[in-house]
Amino acid sequence: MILERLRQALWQVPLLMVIAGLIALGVNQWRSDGIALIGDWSAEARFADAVGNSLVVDLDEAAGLFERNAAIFLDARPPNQYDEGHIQGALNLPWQEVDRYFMELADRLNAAGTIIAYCDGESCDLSHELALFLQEMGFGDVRVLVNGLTVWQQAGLPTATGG
Amino acid sequence: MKHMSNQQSQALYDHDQDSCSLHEPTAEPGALGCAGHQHGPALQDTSGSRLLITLVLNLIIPVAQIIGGLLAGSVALISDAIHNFSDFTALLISYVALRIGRKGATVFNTYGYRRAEIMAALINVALLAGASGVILYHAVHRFSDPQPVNGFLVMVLAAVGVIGNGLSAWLLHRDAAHSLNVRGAFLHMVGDLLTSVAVLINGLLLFYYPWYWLDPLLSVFIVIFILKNGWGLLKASTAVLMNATPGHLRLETVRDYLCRLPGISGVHYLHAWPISSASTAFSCHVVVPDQPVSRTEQLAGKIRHELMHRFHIDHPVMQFETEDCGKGALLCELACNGDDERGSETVSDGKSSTKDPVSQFQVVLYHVLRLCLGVVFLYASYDKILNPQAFAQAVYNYQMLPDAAVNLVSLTLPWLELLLGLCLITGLWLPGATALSTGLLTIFIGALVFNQIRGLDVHCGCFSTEPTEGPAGLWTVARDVSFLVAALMVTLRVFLVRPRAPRAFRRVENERPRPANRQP
Repeated sequence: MILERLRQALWQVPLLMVIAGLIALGVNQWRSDGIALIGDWSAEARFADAVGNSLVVDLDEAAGLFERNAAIFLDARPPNQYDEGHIQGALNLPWQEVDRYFMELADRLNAAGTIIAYCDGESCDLSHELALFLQEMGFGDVRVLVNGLTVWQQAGLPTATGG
Repeated sequence: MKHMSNQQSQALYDHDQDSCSLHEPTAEPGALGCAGHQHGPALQDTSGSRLLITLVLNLIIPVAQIIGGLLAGSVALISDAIHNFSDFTALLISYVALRIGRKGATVFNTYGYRRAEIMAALINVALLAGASGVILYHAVHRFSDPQPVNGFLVMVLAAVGVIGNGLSAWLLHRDAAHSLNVRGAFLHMVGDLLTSVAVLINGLLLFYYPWYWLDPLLSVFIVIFILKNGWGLLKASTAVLMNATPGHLRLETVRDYLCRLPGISGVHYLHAWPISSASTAFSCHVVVPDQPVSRTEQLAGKIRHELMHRFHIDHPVMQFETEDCGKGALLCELACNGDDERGSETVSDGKSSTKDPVSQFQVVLYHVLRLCLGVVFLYASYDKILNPQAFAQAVYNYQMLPDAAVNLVSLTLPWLELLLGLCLITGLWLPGATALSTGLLTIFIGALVFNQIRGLDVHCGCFSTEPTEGPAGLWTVARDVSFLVAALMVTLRVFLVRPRAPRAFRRVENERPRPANRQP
């Protein structure tokens, strides 16, 4: 009995997977919003602007801009996380409440040359969303520092706490 | 030629003995749908005008409810309308079948048109299933995208349903108190009233609170109720079309009874099948001592009488013969003498097997869990199939797969969930489907727990690709664990408990080792 069931499961499981795979590939091919079978999940590709140009700035470049005071850093995380620790001199523009905070910061952002948005974590998308939004608002030089706070701290660069 | 006498007689209770006449009794009223005893109001003693009023009532109410449901934005109201509408179609079918059935037999249609009601019942089931599918589709849509519902309008129209159902039931059953169908009809009426009352309460709640998910949830329950009734109807009508032995008959009992009649030395090759819900046909070979044909006619009359009175068989055909069977004829296992034990074993009607409440509870639990799990998988697949890019992002965020595999997995996984859901619901390929479900759920939980431990904040992407679903937490893990427990229980049952095979299959299976009964 159990052997019989196991035998059945043994051919049904792979067959189900194959059928699912075939349907998936077929539908993906046919639909208009299908995705690439092997996606490009590199940071450059993930943090790109609307036309596909990468927004990523590497740590060295960001540190250089920081030294020369040539960039404004934007922390895209919620205020409580910002208060716990952020890149020194960074402004808080929480993506969740971007509409509320944006007008307060608009003047200072206009004065800036380069804007570097960051959040925390390899897969955190807040800074990317914020960068896309700023580009749409007309800011030309917007960049994203991937996994920003973590790499900044690991490099021993200055941070601050509080509001 | 071994058959000394061979008389085929078409027998009605009040028959004429001329076996060459084409003769059909007029259809009995009270035949409704194919399962007139349970699935619809009784029609007995219902004169034309009352039936007409009921028909009109049962048409106006659902139409008003559907329009109101669209205006109020309530899927629950629309499902209630479909449920009420199924009453209308059932009544219409019974009425039309009654009219058609009266046409009687022709040379071309020797059984008459009494199976018209069966065909109509099948069409009714198909319509109900289609409507249920549409409602389910919209209900699922509503869960992910709740819409405001006008509670007041829902209340008013549900109240119309309550009053209408009550009124039509009262009209139909006022003078049917002596009918055997009253209990079934009463239950039917209560079911109708309850769904309308549930929709009424739903409207009341929505009037005061914005719990808009309540509406699609209720409609799902009503659809399940509709489908359950439809399933009964489908089973009963396919049983008629498949010439299954009518539920009230046990062929072994008929055989044993006939064998005990004086002057009969054997009975075999028994068949009994319904012509309509109210008429049963029967045929068999009767083995008798060598005698003139005229003497068997007397015996035939007696058998017909007994069959009609004891077993309500109104349409028996007998063939008298002097040789015992055993020349490789089919279904000889129903012969009187010899091989009795195995004979009765092959045609036992699966109902007698599991009677104790514990195992029955287990059976019910197994089916409920299996269906629930299937619905969970279907629901889980829906949003991911619609939004492949978003789901791929969710899979990527788990940070567990190599980048090259992310898209392939996130494309295939939703379709696999859809297939598993379908398999679990329909009961196809259960060993594979249950094993795979358990495996997948284990992997999902593993991934969630792994990311909890390493502190990665992932959106679970379990049911929705929207990041607003919130980060996966302990609650997500607990939910998946409960799914896993259900999957494990279903899997164990599938792998360890032998299911009761359908009757027809079992007979063939058991028949194989013994090709024919040889009588000495």
